[in-house]
Amino acid sequence: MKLAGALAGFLLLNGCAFVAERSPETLSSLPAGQYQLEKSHASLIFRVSHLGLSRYTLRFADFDATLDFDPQNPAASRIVARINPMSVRSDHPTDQGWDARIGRDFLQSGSFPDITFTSTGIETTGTYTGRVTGDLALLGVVRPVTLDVVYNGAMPAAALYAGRAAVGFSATARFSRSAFGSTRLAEFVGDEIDVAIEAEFTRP
Amino acid sequence: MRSFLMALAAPLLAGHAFAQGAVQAPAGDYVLDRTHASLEWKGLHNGLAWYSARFTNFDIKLTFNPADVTKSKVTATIDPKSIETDFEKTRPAGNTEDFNAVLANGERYFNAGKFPTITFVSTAVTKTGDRTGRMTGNLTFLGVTKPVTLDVSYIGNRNDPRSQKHKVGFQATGTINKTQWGMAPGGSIADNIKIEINAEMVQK
Repeated sequence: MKLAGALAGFLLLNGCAFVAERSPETLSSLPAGQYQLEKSHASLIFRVSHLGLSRYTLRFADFDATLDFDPQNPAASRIVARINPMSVRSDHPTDQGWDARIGRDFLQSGSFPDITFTSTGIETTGTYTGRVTGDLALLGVVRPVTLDVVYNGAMPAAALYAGRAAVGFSATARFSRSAFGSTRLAEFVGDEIDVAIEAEFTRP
Repeated sequence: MRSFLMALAAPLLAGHAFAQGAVQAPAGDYVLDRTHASLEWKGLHNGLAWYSARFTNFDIKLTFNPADVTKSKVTATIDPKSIETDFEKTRPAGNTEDFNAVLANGERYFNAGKFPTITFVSTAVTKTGDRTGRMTGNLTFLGVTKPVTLDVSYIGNRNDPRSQKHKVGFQATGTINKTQWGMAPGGSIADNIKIEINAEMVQK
């Protein structure tokens, strides 16, 4: 512990932290402005019931997000995200075309090449939690979806990001695909979509 | 990991059948439906967000005992070389590193050249509710065998009209401390790793 303390002190003296601190003070000490998703430290997983047997698990491998972050008043922040529907990954063991068919047939990527989310309202619900409501544009339909967000930690100067400010969140959401007009294979594939997001943002 | 699910599933299934009058899955051996299964892990990355990856090649076997589900058995094997981080899709421009291979083969990580298989063998199953249970078993990786316990939820069961074989589905979650298996502490990913398995099992 003493060694860790000494190391932390050394890092603080050098102005760069290696591990994020989780405190309201650390969050509010971040610089305001535009933050960009660290794509290689972010994930977007979704699950849907398959025949009532399992929570079939997929993810998008290609997505991006921009956060206009107001650390003094997080509720005044805004976030915009874009998802490539052809980047679905399911790790099907044999069918190499499976993921592309989900993108084309379920997500109609030919007609709708981007899935987008644009926040419309943010509220804080606790010291480390908040709710982000926004417009999800999916299959050409725009409907509100709410994310439950957990603030994990922040670093005003992150050693791993060359001293840039960094902040990290986890988020979950649930919505009905039929609300976006998706009823394809409803006899096999459930209506509720559970989303789990992990995201690190840095300020360029 | 998948074994965990299976073992859990068996007791859960029995509980479900009694509680809800559903068709009960018959006793016997079940094998993994690899087209409807996932094995994910998440580790907190520098205190910012839960870095998410998965193994895509794994197998689970369940011996189901509906008369006494706590006597059911699960075994699982995981190929550590099948780790998938999606780094290839998310890495910064110009970065050509094969990060999957680094994690799979690196001596600080899964060291697959020396330890080519991760295994799980259940040792005990308890029921905690009509649809939930707890499965304990021996997890072996990096040459170290330690007990782990997974919380298992039974999702559903049905007789497949085409194959006339019964299927059961489970979700299992748990947390392990990677350092107990000798994986180096410190580094970017924190010691406690969250695991989630979603799997359908089919009668052999």
